Amino acid sequence: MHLAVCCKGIPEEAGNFSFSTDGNHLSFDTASVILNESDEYALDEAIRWKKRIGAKVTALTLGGLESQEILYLALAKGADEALRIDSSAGSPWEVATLLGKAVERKEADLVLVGVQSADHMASLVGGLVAESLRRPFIFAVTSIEIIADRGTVIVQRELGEGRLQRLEVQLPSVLAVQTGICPLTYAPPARRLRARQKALEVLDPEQLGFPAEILGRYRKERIEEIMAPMVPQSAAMLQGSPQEVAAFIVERIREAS
Amino acid sequence: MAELIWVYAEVVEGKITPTTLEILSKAAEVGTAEAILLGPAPDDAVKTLGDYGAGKIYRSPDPVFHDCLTLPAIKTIAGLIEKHHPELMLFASSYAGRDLAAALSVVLDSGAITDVGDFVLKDGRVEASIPALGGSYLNTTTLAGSGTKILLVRPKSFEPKARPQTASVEDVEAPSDPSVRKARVTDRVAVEQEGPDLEGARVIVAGGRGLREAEKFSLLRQLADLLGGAVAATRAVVDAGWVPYSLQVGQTGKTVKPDLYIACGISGAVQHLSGMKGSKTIIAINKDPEAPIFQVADLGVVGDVFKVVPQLIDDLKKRKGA
Repeated sequence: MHLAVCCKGIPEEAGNFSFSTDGNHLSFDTASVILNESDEYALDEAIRWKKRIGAKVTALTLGGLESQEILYLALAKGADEALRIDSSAGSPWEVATLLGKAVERKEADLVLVGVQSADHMASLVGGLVAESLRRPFIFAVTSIEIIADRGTVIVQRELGEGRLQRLEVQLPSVLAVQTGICPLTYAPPARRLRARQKALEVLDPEQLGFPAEILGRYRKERIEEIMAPMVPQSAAMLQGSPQEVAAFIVERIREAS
Repeated sequence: MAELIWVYAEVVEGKITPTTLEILSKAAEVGTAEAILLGPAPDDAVKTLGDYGAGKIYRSPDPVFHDCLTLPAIKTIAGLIEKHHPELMLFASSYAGRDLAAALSVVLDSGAITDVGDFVLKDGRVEASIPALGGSYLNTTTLAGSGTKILLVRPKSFEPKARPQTASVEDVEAPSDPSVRKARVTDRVAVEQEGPDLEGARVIVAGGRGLREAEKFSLLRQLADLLGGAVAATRAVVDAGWVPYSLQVGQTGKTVKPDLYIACGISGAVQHLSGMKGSKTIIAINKDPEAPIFQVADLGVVGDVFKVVPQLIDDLKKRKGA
């Protein structure tokens, strides 16, 4: 059983943003990237299955050199292999096309992604990867049980608004993992240091069969304009003792409701 | 001639979802609206869709759409789009809508725009304004080309407006090949609901990690009860298991627009803000003066939730007693 986990590096702090050089996606001015929260749950869930059934886990990311930090973290947590696609592609269709090719190359049976990235929150890449590979896709998965001998996975997923559903899905497939699926593990500094000694695989889009001019066709949408940050509407700040503050709020509640 | 705009009609718990009707209303306002209704649906579904502007409904009641997830729907909708070439295909930004839109955009090689708050159609292209970074910025994204353009529309972006007419129905066939049955529902789990419905509530009292423990949520319940409102929570709180997932407000939970939203111990991660920013009046109580919640709040209190909320409860009780 081979599990691939798609891990996105997101800006640690969203500082200034700008258009990318091709004008088609936003890039953030940031010193370092961190592993996106729901991807970390996907990674930890995969590693739990490595421990339970001896599955192999490969961590995948797409980005520049700075995003290798994420892969080192994945290796420290217990991933067996790590692959970085060296690309600045930003459109979900481009990203998913490349990730899909990498999954195919790695021959992974089950692909885990997080439900959404904290920077764009489009929740698209998982579904797009699945469709590019013609595999079934389940979104917002809150529990996973791999039935290796049947070649299926039994998952529970959210339907939104607190409703849940249990499903059986054939492998190979793609699951978008919801936060909270398992406890997050901590990778101690010593292990993180050791992980840095491990070799990472790096492939560029050409090596995956997608030179820039072909890849560009996968991008349909175009960002035309970004409005300057709306000046944050600052709240009227209340001062005073809890009694004074409460009295004022009660008054406002009366007006508002 | 008005542009042909299709809306995917979502049925949840035997009802057409409110977001479906919002989107349909918008579609009927700017073009010729038609709906796709797949799987088991309530008896009055066709009438309801007609009431909100659908002139025609593509319909299959086959349970395969309900039992085998999105694969059958993808195949059916793609087939219909290739035959009729609507200008736009609209989905709600719901769990089901996202699944379908993502897959269809690949099948049709069409692209899609997600998180749409508003859109205009002009000169064969669609221009959508979408919030970036949870609404801190607004960007304008366009999708051009001759194919059908797919949009995922955020809940509560448009007002549902009845414009009664009788919709014609065209029966469509469900796909029968086994490849659409790769995923199958084995069980459905109902989640217990407590208190008034979040989406309809006029007052919401919400709690975040700042409450520190599950027991403290009872304070918020008391406050909500006194105000005739509902309680809600952030993702972190439902993940911690303090309250059920049905109470989550945010990008992966519910989108709410109450008259009054009282945020207690909520820092205001974009994930959460995107689900409640539209509230008419927002009151935030948080220890940290730098918390982003104060950027969307109308009234802010930098203070201890455990001192301010009990005081509020006392005052409200006295007022009720008086």
